[in-house]
Amino acid sequence: METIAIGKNIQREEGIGKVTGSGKFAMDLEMPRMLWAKIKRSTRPHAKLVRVDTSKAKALAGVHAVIVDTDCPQTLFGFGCYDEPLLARTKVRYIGEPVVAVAAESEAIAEEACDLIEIEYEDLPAVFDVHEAFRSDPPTIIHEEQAGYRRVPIGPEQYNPEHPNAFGYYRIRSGDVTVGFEQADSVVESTYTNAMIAHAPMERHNSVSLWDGDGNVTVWSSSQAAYCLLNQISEALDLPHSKIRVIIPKYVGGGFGGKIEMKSEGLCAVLSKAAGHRPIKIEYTQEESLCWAGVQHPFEIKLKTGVKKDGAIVSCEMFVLVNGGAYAQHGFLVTRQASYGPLGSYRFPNFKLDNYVVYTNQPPGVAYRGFGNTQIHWALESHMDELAHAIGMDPVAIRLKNVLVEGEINTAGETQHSVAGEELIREITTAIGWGSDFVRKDGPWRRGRGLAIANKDSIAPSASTAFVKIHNDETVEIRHSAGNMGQGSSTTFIQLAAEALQVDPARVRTAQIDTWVTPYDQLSGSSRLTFAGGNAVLMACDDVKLQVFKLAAPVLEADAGDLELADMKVFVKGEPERFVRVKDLFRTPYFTGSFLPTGGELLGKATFYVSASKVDPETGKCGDDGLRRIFSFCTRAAQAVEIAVNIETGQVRLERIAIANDVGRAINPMSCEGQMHAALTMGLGGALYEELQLDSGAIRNADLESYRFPTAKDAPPNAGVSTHIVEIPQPDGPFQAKGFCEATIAPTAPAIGNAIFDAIGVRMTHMPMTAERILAAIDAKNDAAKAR
Amino acid sequence: MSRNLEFELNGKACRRDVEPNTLLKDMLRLDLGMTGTKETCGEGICGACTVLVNGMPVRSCLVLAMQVGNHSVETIEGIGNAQNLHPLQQAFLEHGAFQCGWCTPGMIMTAKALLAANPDPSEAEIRDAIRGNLCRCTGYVKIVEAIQAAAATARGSNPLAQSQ
Repeated sequence: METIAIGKNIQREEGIGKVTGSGKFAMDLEMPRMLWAKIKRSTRPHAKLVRVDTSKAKALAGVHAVIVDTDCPQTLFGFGCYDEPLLARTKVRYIGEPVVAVAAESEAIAEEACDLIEIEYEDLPAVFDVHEAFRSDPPTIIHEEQAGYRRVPIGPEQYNPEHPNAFGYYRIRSGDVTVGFEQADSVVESTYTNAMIAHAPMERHNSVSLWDGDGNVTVWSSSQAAYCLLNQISEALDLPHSKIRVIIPKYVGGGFGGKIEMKSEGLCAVLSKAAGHRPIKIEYTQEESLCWAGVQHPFEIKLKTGVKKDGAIVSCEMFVLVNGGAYAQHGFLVTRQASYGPLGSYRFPNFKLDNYVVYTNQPPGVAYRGFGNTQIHWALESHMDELAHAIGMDPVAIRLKNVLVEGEINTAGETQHSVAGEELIREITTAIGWGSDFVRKDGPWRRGRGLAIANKDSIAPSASTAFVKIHNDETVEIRHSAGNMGQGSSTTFIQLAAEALQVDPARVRTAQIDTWVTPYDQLSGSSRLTFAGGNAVLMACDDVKLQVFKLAAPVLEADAGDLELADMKVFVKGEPERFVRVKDLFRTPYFTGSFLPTGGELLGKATFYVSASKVDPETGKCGDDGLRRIFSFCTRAAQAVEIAVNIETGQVRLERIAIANDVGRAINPMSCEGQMHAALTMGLGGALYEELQLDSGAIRNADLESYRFPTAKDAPPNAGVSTHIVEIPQPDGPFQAKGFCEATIAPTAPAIGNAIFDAIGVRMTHMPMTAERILAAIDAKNDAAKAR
Repeated sequence: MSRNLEFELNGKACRRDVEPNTLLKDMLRLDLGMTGTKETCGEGICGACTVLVNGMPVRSCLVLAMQVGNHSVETIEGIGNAQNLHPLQQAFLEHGAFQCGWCTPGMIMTAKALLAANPDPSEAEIRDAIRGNLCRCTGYVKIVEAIQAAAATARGSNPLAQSQ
């Protein structure tokens, strides 16, 4: 199909602003009479607040407001489990929890005021280990009031008094695993874990909040999810949505899931009111941004899987404990999404999964690129390799034997569309030369190869609304609220609209997100924007076209149904010379601007909604309801690596890597590749060295020097990376496209772990696979060999 | 007590009154409103605040404003604009060498200093030069490509441009 925008490497809408530095991010905003906020945070992991003395801070010159919990609305906010106050209420539950907030003339004065605040704590027993916390008789109960918390009912009962610190639970049941294990020729059991890591967006979390004299709250934020933020501010401040306005600049410096939930926007609104309705700016410090704006959840994943000699999986049982930290935040949604991870990759005749997310006195976990799928596929894909070795089968062959195929109904009862399992595996194995000879030994270096696949389901039900306006200069404006934190969603929308309206994409732009102007979008997350937002844009284009045709029909003396639009000319089908320009539909009678005789403006509106099948909370499965849809779509990825391990230092060197993703259809191939490289590098950091080092609830490496993520020298050289976009059409995607930015991070760690095993026969079971851990594993293997 | 500071900013003489403890990045961002220079770590690790002082890349979060007195400072705002992009800016655009764009100004300033010193850098030399400019979004692949392309353009031979 000849296209004018789809499939083309159109430059980013916001590109000029980014390369010239003229683009304004939230952090670049300043307002008249603006004050700076700072938060006094808990230094104890679990303690009663005995006394909070703010008198010296209040007396400091330049301080305009100092607030504690009792100055805030006595609400609890959350994300499906409402458990968190704006400021600690009677007790603190983690080191870093906000206790007092200050607004002052400058950041330095606010910081000085925080130092003058005296907090007296009475320590309570603290629990950090997820097993300890999960016990029926835990050393401490972190949320005594949990039974009374308001929750959104999804899946099985979330609160279980048998496990008073568990706050979320998901289960999947299919077939009978016991019977399945009896049929197996080989059964493998293993446990995989991962460390806590940080999103580390380059633009630290920041915002400006204003509670004005009319009672409206306006927030300018670096958020990636305007309507999630709006909703959370509404809950936290007990204000209706109509009183809250969220504005997100067109430039947001990275998110990765860490900018979905409210940070301090609500708290700073309270400060604004207390300070006489002045705008309040807060910039999280690097420490706050890394540690206390949400982290990736540490998982412990136990797997037991039975296979036949021919590689067919017959039974799989999984038990997962997620360390949720001190507040629920995204914990339950991460748990639920991760639970379905295995079922998007393979078929399991018998399957049983129990997945608990548990409060501990650690910083709360949130969404992190993939909603738990990085952790699940780390475990599952390492485990698949163990299964292959257990039956003497090639790791590629065992995956091809079990991988889902197009149209298959998976273990959860969901029909799978746009399934690129086999295609992805073939792409990467061909690229890496799987099965070919290579030099395995090179001094202290040992080479090996490994592969892994992964997938990520995108949330359903799901809704996006878009408005598409055609201006009187025949340019097009898309109004949507889908946060573009760097992934390029605005440009995707522009390309879709340009194609639908048959107009040069240079004539299409997007509006800045402003919830008083731009319509609802669920969130920039779950890889959903291209699919849900994109479909909404196409539908809104259809709507605006109808309006254009209705106005043009009498002018052309034709039926509206006989008209077409291209290059902003409305013409009668088959008669390209019989046309009227869109701009000529506007009238300019005097000198007071132009208007449309009817309809007000050319403004198309549409909502794209994906409904989901009813899921049985006992089994996590959907039935044959004619829909068989639990998620919007599933996106898949695969990677194969050749690495070298230094057996003297434990160092891992990435020699070559092939990465592949199915995207349905690449709207902008350059952008797709950019996201794939990005996820690969982020995955590499998590696989090999990124880790927030915890010591009794305190994070010991809360800066970018000691929390290191990949530099240009750490990332593999360009010649070592082979990038493969696979296009298996998503039937109901916009031009058959779908999103993919999350799944692509998940295969990196297990592919490397599997390659390490191939190289030196050592199975790594904890992420990150640091040099120290690899050396320790080599030593353990040598010790075991000696003992025999 | 503020002091008078005279220096060259993007090719023009500049005079400001600054406090002795004002950092260069704060003078640029807060006092002059030149927010193209970004700040992430504030301790010289990430490179987002990189500007050129006498042509050398400098972390503006580690330098006092007073230290640039009588020196020449170049920021992202000084090397090009929408109507007249610098070859590096053009290459970053064409190669999609950014995602969120936060690290881009610092990255481009570092690359500019590199190309001034070494018009034909190898990939390893490019990676070495930008190792102190952290990027969380791109994976560096397209950044390296863009710097190579800009270098080729500056040398008057862009093999990519010819092949397209």
